[in-house]
Amino acid sequence: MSEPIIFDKFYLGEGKSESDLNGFDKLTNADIHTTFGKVQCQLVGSLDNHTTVDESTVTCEDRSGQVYFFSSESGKIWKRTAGGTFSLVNTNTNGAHQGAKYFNGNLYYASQYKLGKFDGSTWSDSFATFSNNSLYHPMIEMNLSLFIGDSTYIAAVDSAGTFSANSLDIPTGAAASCFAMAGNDILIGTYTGTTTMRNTAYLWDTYSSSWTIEDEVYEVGFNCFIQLDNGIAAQCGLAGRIYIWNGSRFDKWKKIRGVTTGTGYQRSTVFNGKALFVVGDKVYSIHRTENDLPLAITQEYTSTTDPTYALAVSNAQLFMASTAGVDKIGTDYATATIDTPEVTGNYQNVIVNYDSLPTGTSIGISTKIDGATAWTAQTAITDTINKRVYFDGGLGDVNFLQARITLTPSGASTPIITSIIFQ
Amino acid sequence: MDAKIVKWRLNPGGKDGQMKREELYRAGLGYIEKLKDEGENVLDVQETENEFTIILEDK
Repeated sequence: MSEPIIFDKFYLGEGKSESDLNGFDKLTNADIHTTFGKVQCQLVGSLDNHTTVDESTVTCEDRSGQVYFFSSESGKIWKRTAGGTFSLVNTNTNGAHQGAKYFNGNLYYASQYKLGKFDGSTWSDSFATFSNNSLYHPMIEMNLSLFIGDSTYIAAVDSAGTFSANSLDIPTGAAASCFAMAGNDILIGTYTGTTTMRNTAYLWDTYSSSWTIEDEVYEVGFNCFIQLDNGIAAQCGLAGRIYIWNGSRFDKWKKIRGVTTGTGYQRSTVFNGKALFVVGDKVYSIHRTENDLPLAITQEYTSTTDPTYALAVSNAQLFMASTAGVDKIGTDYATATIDTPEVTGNYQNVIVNYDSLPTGTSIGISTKIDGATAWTAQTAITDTINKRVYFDGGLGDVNFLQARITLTPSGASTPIITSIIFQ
Repeated sequence: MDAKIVKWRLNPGGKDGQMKREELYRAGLGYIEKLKDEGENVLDVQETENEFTIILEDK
């Protein structure tokens, strides 16, 4: 027998590897932040509208709680009222959209060749003409202007509504793919192509004729920036790698393991103070509840459709825009799984201590021994007096043990667990 | 006739690799031609040291 090992630091989130004891191998639909030191199910991703909106979209919200969805497959533009009613409000004669942003009382939306504008009453699909016809038109509001990527140019709309086609030019070859606010400056991430393994970010004060600082990452492009609490991260490349901005350089920081990532400047948002990032149908958070805790990565929400390309927040609601339509966060909980690290030792049982196990909910235990490919479900026994779930031992000779704890909710009730013990 | 303004920067950036003024000037002229090709009615182009101010009919 080996010395018992306790996993109770759920706030650490996912670890660096399957065997990293300073974290968990994988957390799915897991809420590790609501109750510090405990873990519970996260709310389920549910259909908001998959009938009126039935194409992948980019989104933006106005100041009145209305959210607009701009098709990236066609010229269709839909509006979701604050009350949740969807309608088709315009069809852009210039075709599919690459970006959108509410700025200075107007809605701006970009197709490949044209910038459109909606002033609240009139849709002007050809408000302005881009110079470079980029496939990427990220947008950001900063210093009383709206900045729009157009390949090697940064276009802008100022507070008077005047369009400038080339407020900044960056070196030829790469396209501006995403923006982030960095103090009073903006960070411009770039993407060159699938075969270019080196891309540059530029820090620009938004009015000088050149940028201030540049830094390269050896990745296939900047996919999106992730706004942290007083910090900026960049998701770069194809393998889930995340870099963090130290004020002048991007440092290699974290990696979301087992995912394939791609471009999309709206893949991240901030919801209830949490930085969120979507890949496939999985929405990850990078968050800590207090400043002296580590920033933890956990997979919190799952949309109903893979892939999901854009996130938006409005009216205290998170929207996930996928190829099938729009999802939101429901009121019921999703089934959560917590995969422990793989631990070396001849362990014979797994005990899950719980804080709450409401009627209809359950806690399941599965195990994987010596790196087996499949999980083996164990027959869980619930001890309501000692508030723990375990199974009758007898795993045979164990060199490495890993456990998956499944928290099954019941409607709006979720189990809450406090620790997992190998013994 | 209503008009709208589009600006084209001519002052070059300070970093290597960015377009020089002559390149920005030529690209600006190309952009004006592009606007015309796409059906814009270019009413006037005003040039200063720093920029073209392109005045278009606001259709």
